[in-house]
Amino acid sequence: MSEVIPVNAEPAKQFFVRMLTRDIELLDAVLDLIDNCIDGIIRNQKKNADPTKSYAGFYAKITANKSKFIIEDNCGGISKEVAEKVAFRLGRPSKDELTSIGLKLEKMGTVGVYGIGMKRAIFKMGEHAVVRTEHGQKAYEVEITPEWMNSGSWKLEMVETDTSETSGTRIEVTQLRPEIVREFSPDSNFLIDLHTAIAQLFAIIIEKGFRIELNGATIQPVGVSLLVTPIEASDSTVNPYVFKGRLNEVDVEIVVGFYRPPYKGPDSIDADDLRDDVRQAGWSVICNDRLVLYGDKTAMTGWGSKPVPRFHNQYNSIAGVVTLKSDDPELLPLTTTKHKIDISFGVYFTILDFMKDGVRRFIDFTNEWKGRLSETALQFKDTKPMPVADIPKKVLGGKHTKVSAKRLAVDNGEAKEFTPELSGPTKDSSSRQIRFTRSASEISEIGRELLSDPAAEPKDVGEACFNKVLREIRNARKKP
Amino acid sequence: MSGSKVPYHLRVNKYVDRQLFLEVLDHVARYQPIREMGYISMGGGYLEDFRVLHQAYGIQKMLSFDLDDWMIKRQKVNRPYGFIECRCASSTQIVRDFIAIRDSLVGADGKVIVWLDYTEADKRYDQLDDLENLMKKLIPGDVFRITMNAHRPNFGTVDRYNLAKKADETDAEDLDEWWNRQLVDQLNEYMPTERKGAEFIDSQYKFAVTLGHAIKIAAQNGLRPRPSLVIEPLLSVVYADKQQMITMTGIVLERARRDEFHRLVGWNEWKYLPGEEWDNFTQLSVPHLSVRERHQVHDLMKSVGTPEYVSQLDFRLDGTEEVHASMIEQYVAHYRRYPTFAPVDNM
Repeated sequence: MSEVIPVNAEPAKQFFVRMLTRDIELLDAVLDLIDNCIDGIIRNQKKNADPTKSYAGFYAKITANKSKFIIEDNCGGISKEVAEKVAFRLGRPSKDELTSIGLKLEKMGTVGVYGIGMKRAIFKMGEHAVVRTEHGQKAYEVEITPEWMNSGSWKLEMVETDTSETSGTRIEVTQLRPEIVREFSPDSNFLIDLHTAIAQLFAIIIEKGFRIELNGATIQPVGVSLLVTPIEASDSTVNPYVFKGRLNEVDVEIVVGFYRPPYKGPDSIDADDLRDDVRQAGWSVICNDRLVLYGDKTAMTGWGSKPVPRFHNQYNSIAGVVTLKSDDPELLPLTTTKHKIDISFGVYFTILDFMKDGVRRFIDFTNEWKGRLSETALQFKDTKPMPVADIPKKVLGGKHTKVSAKRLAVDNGEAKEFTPELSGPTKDSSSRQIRFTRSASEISEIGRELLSDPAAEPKDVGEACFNKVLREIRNARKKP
Repeated sequence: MSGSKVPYHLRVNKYVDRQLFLEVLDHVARYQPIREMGYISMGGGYLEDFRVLHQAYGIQKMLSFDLDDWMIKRQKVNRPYGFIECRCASSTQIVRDFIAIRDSLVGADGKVIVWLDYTEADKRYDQLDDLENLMKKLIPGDVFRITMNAHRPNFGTVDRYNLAKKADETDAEDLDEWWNRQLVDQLNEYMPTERKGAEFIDSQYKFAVTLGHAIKIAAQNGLRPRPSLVIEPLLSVVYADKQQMITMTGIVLERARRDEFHRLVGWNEWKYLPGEEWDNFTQLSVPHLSVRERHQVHDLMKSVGTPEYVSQLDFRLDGTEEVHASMIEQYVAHYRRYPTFAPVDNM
């Protein structure tokens, strides 16, 4: 008989903490914490009844400097049971485990799936933390100390404290790690990046009333709107492509079109000019109100996969937004950091086809009018920018078609779409474009002479030259 | 490119700004020898800054560049010393070839002072982009300096705005909003997110602060791949001879040697600290005074810095007493830096 020797396979805490925090960027860790605040509102079913202002009255305030990080919200807090059994666990307990302790966590359209955000963020940032949460007239505090970090025990103590009338959670992390001190100091651009990331990721939620403060400054959301032609103006046909449906428990809205007239904007001959890289152009993806991709121009959103070409400056005026909603966040194509798309996931493939279909029309439009985009100005005369969230209702209110089950090709789904008719140029084979290059000083010299403007646009100078010569030739011909 | 077609002695505040730059270099000299450093700048027609830097520190490894060939030809006529190399290149090209330029000037480990002396208001994005790319190639001990146009009306005067409004070209509600939109478009990713509102461009000074933050973003972006390095801001100046300009100067340091730097250079003695956010600008609006007027002010000086003589002067620089007083104060604050001579070698 061989002897059975017990082996210690318990994870060493420091190792675990290191592994857990190594793969997450500080930026994602902080965004995770804001996600938790918003999940709090949804979990506590406190959302405002008005769907356009469903987060009104709620806030998250972040303080980040060289000595501490604080995030506090009024989003309902964590109940004693959840705090005791779930919130401090690393990873969410399984359904069976939850049922055995008499807890049921509803899936209600949150994005917190993995149950590691708060802990991971704390470990990432510092050695000491105090989490205080108030929910239903009770407040509790949990302290994580450097001693605990270095001990073998996984037990924490929860202490009841005085209430403050505000249901919410406050996390304060101190004894920040040296690399975090560096990131939170003015020597680094981190806080600026964080500001930009929040303005983007939470744009929809901020639009719907949520207030996020970073070191005292209220963050303004990035704009996501597209050009729409009001119904009463009929001589213009510019409108976005709209798709709206429900595919396998996921609500899907796709809106794509021009967000600015294609003939305006940086007039550059250099196709690689980076200034033309307008941020909103490309695709944005919203999952349960989180703007997880903004202005994506990669294969993730179909660029460069047939029949859509790779993104190019010519398509700078085109923007699309995909809005996905599901009560079960596991059905959404999110990665674990919740701020990126998992392209091989579920319904996303189907959705991608409709996105490519939609964007194709606008690509064709810029191709057909290439070199003479200014002639399309009339088509854009009556267009007005409209927030993307309002577009499906407005546009599908008119004429639209039902998408056939065959095209949808999912087990369980229905959808309708609106396809705009964009006018291409009438085929005019009698016009040609002239293009040539001359030195700037010579163009300026002619500009001063012909147009009384030494800074005149090269194309205007060119045209003036052409017209002058043509006139002279014709006049000369008239003379006997 | 550098547009400095007007000599320094006719631009009082640019001159004073440059004197402040020399003074902060005096501090840096306590940390590292300036004499061995290289100097790269857009010398303009007269290469005045090259002359001054050579006189002050004996710098000999010098490179002046300009985009225009005719300007380089002129520089070659006017250069005060034969050892100044004049090269026809854009700042983008200089930054692109920076490693080779440093190597040929001072060797791979030699330190340099680089001054990107921009004037154009419509190329701010490219200027910041150049700065970011330059920072990627700087090493500890390098000093960089950037001058940028910070004059709001270059986005269009109020008349131009009213015309655009009438023609339905813009739906911006007021002039500030109109300027602000153009600025956000222009700076793109360098636009400081916390200053995106029109209220941050409703004065020339606020606009300078926004641009200052954009410069900080660009510079720190460039250094991002090397977190062991840090930028110590040395001097931030806003001035207007005609158009409002800002200049920012900083030095690249190893993070671990920052305290040592502060100690050695006597950092607390430096009167014009720009602060952690680099935006504590030294505001220059030194008035032009005649020789007689200057002498009167000087005669009344008992101990430097006492303002009582403002009222005792026989002349006024402005009808409003407060304006007059502030002009005299500016003069007194910087009289030692005032251009008191017309440099004969340039005439």
